[in-house]
Amino acid sequence: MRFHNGNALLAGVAALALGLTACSSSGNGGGSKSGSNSAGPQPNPAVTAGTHGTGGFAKCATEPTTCNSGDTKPGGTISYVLEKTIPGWNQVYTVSNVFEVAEVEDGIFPGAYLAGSDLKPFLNTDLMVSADSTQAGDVQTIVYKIKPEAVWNDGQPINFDDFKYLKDVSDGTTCPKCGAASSSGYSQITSMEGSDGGKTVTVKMKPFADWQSMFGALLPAHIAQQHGGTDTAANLNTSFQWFDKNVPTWSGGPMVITKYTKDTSIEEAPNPKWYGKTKSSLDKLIFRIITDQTQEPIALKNKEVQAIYPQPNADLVSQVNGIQNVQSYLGKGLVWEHFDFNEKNAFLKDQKLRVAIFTAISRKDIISRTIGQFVPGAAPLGNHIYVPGQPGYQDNVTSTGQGSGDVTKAKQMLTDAGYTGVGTTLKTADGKAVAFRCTYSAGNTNRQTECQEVQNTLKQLGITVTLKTTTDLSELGTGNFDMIVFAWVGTPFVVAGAQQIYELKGGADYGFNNDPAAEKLINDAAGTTDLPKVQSLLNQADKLIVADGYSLPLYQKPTFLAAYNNIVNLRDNATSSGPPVNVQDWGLKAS
Amino acid sequence: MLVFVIRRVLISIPVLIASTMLTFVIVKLSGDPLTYLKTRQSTVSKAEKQAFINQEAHRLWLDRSWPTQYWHWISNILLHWNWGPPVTGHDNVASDVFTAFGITARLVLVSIAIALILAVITGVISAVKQYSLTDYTTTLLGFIFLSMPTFWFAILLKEFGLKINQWTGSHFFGTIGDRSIPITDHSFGGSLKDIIGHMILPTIVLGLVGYAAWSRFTRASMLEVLNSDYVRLARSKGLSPRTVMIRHALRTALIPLTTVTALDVAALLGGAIVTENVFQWRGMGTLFLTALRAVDFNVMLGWLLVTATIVIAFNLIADILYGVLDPRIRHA
Repeated sequence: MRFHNGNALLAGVAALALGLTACSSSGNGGGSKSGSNSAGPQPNPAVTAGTHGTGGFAKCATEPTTCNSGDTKPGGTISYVLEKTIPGWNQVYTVSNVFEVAEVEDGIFPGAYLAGSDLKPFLNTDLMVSADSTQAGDVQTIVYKIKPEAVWNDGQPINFDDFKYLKDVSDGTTCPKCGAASSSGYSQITSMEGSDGGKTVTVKMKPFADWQSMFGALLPAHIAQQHGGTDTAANLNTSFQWFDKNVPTWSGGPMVITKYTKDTSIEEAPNPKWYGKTKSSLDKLIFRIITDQTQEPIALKNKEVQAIYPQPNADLVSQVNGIQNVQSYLGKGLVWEHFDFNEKNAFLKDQKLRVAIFTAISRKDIISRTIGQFVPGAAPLGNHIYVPGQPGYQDNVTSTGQGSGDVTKAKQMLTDAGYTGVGTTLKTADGKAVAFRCTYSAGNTNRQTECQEVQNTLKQLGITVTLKTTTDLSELGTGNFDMIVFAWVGTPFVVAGAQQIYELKGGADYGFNNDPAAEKLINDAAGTTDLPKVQSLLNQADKLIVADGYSLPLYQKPTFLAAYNNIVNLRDNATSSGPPVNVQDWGLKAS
Repeated sequence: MLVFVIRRVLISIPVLIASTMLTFVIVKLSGDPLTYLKTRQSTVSKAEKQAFINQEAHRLWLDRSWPTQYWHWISNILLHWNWGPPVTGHDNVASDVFTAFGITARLVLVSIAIALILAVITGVISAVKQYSLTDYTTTLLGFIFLSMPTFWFAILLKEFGLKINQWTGSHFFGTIGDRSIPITDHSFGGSLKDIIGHMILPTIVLGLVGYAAWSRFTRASMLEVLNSDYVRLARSKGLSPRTVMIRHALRTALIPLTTVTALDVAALLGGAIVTENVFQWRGMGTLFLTALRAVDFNVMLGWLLVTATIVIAFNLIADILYGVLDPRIRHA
């Protein structure tokens, strides 16, 4: 998982992050127009509430992988907006592992599994024949079969060497200085073997629930060999850095980068050596960098760009809706807003106080004063691990009363817990007045409102809340916060995300919630490849986290895709891969 | 005159050195460049994450004392023309700063040239025809331009360009960047049209702000000169109004404007931040904003160094011009 600071998407773990399901997979997935891995539209209120689409995007809530489908005509150019500049070109490298780089490279880096618009991983059947996983005791064996015709754009085959190179730079031990964005899964690999001329890769590892997250962005080992090498740690680091420094002219995907104008645009054209079933009909795909979101609707209206994917607000949505021939989709993403407590705080270490506070807070009021203003039907989120639409999602929060805004019940809970001055000046049993800070991102009006809502609500309990701003959420790392509101950015691969956030040693348990029982359940989930069992274990863990009163999920942040209605097969993809995950299908509608 | 120039140049050197120290301290206080790594949830172990943070801190010299870092930075620039690495990416900071400077210079110089010509013309007319309808109109316009928030005015102009495009069915006015992407017409005429189409709107935004101030300044200065004794003497000696105006009054009235313009140009070259951001020009303004958001300290230091040098240089130019235009100054 990543966290989300205001409009800025930080660290994209992309398809490198963790896997969700188990068992073997083959067949198509959520990427292409014909490639739905769902049995059919199954409207689910938890999924469709708070979404709205127009034109070809009208059915995207129920048909996320097939909406806006259509036949394309040859030729044409599409300009798609990126909101950030490109720090480097190797999305596997920590520094360059950002959303915008992943979007640009969706059509360049081949991967075994990709993340679909339905928030599920799917096998990339352009590259792979199959990927079969079996588990015997403590050993998981995955057999990847690569398509014989799969080649890099210089004609070299995509094979075992590329899988091995990615593992070596990522596992954290073969090349400790490489600084790969994710070592999850790779560090559990005990052996890798190539056969069938390198087109079959057999991986043996300790059981890893999120195994489908591995090998999501392959680098060409033969090019690494030319620019540093692949044999020693130092050589691996040299070649790994070379990939970051140099604009890729290589490609193993449907597109190839033809021109880069620094901080301005990236131009791509169809890869002539593309081996997949759908060849891009476009002459050019342009990623246009516009770093000021407010300029995007004007550029769209002036037809300088044809598609935008900004973080929405009421103003932006209203402006885009007024543009002729533009269709838009207001969806729900993997980014979710939440309050966290710092349990090192002298008052907030008391679980009963925390739960009472969460009970008093009304999530519906917060939503109506924030995203509810432009997302009709937006509803509170009920899980700390899954979001609606992901297999395994269930509401574990609402039934507990947390987030209900029940001040009376909260007062009673505090009285029962031995607090005095309930409703006037809340004091602990030893007479200390309860007061703390609520920290929010400076300039983020929604988060300011959220903290103000807490401040007003808790006044009714007799708690003094002071508002504090942060510019970069660095307080999370230093622990200099009491209560904080920010967002997590999830991926289709949930297990390792849960390990990071809810385990003390995970690196992102910023509030120091120490719940060994929940940690055990999450670790158990990480060690199995049985999907129903994973979901069951994670939901049990989630219930414990809810009971801890450590974190209160508020809502899923909306996504917003807008494009001219002559563009087909472009659709929302709220994962860290972004909409370009099926870029080869994009095109201008055939008349 | 030479002594005057040498004296001014020598004074500028310690000012520049002091400004590098000051900017270094300001930049160091602006935040931790590695926050983005420290607060990021990469899926590596805590130990691996910390090792990488340490590795990056070492690469960027953040694990040394401030004086060591300052000396490393300034000596590398002076001795090796190495402006240090960016926090993320592999770009050459010096190249980035000077490329951005070139883009900003193109925008600023054109807008200043237009603004200056208009300001002098309308300022002189306003002064000569004081309290006339023309004077009231230019005064009103000047105050409107002065009081308009740049951001709002830029958006308004973009909408105007958009409407023109829609009415004419063309794509003449560009609203983002300094060129169309992709460039479809590579001919000289086509390129020129594209450049002009992207330049007009930001030039107007930038120019009108300068114009408003400078026209008011010219008017005030001209009025002062026109009411001075030597101008009355020139008139009473029977010189033609044109000669009095151009050879005697205007030349004197432009002296303070020269100084003000030189200082304003320096400020604008440092980055027309709002204009560049609205029109998405990758000049000094957007470079600074991007670096500030990312706490990219070497880029910020480079930007501040160039800006400080420009400000000092233009102060020097203003001083020298003042000396050239007014002999009393250089002989003082």
